[in-house]
Amino acid sequence: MTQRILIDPVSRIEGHAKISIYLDDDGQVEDARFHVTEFRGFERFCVGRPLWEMAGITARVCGICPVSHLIASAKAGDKILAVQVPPGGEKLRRLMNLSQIIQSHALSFFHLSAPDLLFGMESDPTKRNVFGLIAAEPELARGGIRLRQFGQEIIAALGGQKIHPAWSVPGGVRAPLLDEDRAKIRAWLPEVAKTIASALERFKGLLDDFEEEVSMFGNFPTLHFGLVTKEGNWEHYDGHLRFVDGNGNIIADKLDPSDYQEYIGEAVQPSSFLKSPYYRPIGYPDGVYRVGPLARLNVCERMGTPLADRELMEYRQRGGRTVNASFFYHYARLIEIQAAIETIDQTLDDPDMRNDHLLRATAGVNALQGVGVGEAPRGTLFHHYQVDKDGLIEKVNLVIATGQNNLAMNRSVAQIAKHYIRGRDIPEGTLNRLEAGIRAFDPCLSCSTHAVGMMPLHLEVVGSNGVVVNEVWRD
Amino acid sequence: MNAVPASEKESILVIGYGNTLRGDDAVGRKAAEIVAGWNLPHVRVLSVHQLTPELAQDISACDQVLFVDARAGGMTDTVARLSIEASESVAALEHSTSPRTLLAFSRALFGARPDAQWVTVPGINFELGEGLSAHAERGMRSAIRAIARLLDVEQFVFGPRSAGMAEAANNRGVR
Repeated sequence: MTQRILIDPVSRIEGHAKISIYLDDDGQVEDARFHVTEFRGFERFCVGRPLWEMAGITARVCGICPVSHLIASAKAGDKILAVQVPPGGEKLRRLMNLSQIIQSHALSFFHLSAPDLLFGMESDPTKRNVFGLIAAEPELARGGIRLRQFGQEIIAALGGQKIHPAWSVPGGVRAPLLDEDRAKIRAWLPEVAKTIASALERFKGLLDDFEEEVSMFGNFPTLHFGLVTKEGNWEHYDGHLRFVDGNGNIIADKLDPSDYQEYIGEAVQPSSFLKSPYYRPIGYPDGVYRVGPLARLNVCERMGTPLADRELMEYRQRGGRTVNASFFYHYARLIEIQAAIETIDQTLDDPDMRNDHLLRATAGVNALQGVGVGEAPRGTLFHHYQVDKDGLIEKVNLVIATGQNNLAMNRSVAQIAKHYIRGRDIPEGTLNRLEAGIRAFDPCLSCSTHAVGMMPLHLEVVGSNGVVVNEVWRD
Repeated sequence: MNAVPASEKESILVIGYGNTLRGDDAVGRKAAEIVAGWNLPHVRVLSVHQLTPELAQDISACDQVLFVDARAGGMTDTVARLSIEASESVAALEHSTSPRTLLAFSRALFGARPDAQWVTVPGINFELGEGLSAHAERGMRSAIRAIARLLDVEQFVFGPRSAGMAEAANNRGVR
């Protein structure tokens, strides 16, 4: 009879999740599952609310990537109003989304994953954390914090606050970029450019030490999905959607976000509250696809900025034209930060963003549904609203980035478990590898209360008779 | 209200945190917003969804930090006030973190050692929805009194008579 190993919760990811590993009678790993135990009920919560409140409400879904929800929500609202967002409004939304990508990726790389990368998966767990990182590499740690702060400060400058700015609205944005804020961002750019250049060099220098992790941490062919520009370049805000397969072949292109239900199906697993989207033409569960930094670099031809393009070229020399190793998510994040910083540098002085007369188009309800899409740090995010003639929400569907990686995360956990686990004993280094395999995706399962649910790591081995035969707690 | 002479006060940071879409989880933020309304020149107030690592730098710039949070406390109506220090353990830093870990982060990165207090207000409803339960509302009023006392502005905020009543209330409801 199958045995089950439970790791609950997974640390250094956002939200509440656990990992179950199923052993066969011989103690070999048969399968593994990544569960999300925190219920998201926001789709029902929003019903009956006015459309114009949705950006502000959905931005409060998550304290980690509120800007992503804000923008996808506002874009769904644009469709329902059937308006053309003024150029200044679009450019400001782009600036905020780039800032969100920077701050989120900075936290993921510098503070959540860097301890594993710098000290090694098997290193002393009492030092393999952010405090060990600060002690060993204070400049790197401070640089990471400052990089995150850079993104957060731009968000605050535009939206008035760092978390949950109700600034992007259907039709555009509420306020321009002030000259004094633009000057502060401009003055800060050289520092963050130096930080990311240094981090990239550091990461590339470490990569050879992780050959085994590269090959075993979710390294398998899947589809990859994301936005590209009309020229096929890296995109984070608009453009069209593209699927490529594990060999880089474009299998669907120029997809309209409004038709997402034609190519994305959403399966439900009884063991998890996280939906499991799949590529509908292939079906469930084989239609696995990945989103986020790794996928975005796979679907695009170029990054579109000089330094990021140079890095992309080297990235592909190391990982192939289409990278299927999830460990490269870390690398891809750094390249996206590079591209975001360069893009901000190139566009910051655009006069359209200072024009407070034309940042928002106004209209009433002109369509009874709309789909907004954007690239959140963790991947493509859809907001789909149906409204009545007065603009009151009748139905909401959110297809979140972490959910779209759910099937791939399950496969990653299974691959790592099968490679490293033999029998019921789980060494600490193996535990950490399982968690690190999930952390590569930087999943965000937020929306939880912080006042409840804080628990240490719990691993449980259940024998075939249902009795717990081994248990590990990590404080 | 009369102004508090800024020169006589240390710099104090009040951080109320919680999810405003999760019922009583918002109580720390609502309390912080009330404190912000006092417009105390020596007090900076932040109302945030959760404690994030970059707050370490804000903490490093103050002499005293006061965290205000909800806690899943059942039907007890006691507002808790704890003096806290930087965590000595090696809890993993996540997207959001705890006050003690954040203090440790601020100390490790910036050498900061501010005096820190943690005020927690019991809540009973953390389901999706806006607004506090009556239970959390009562707790918030006690917390506000406790914060005023900690900031040494009871008379300034509530007036002399109210301050005396507040002290009696605090003796009953705040530990």
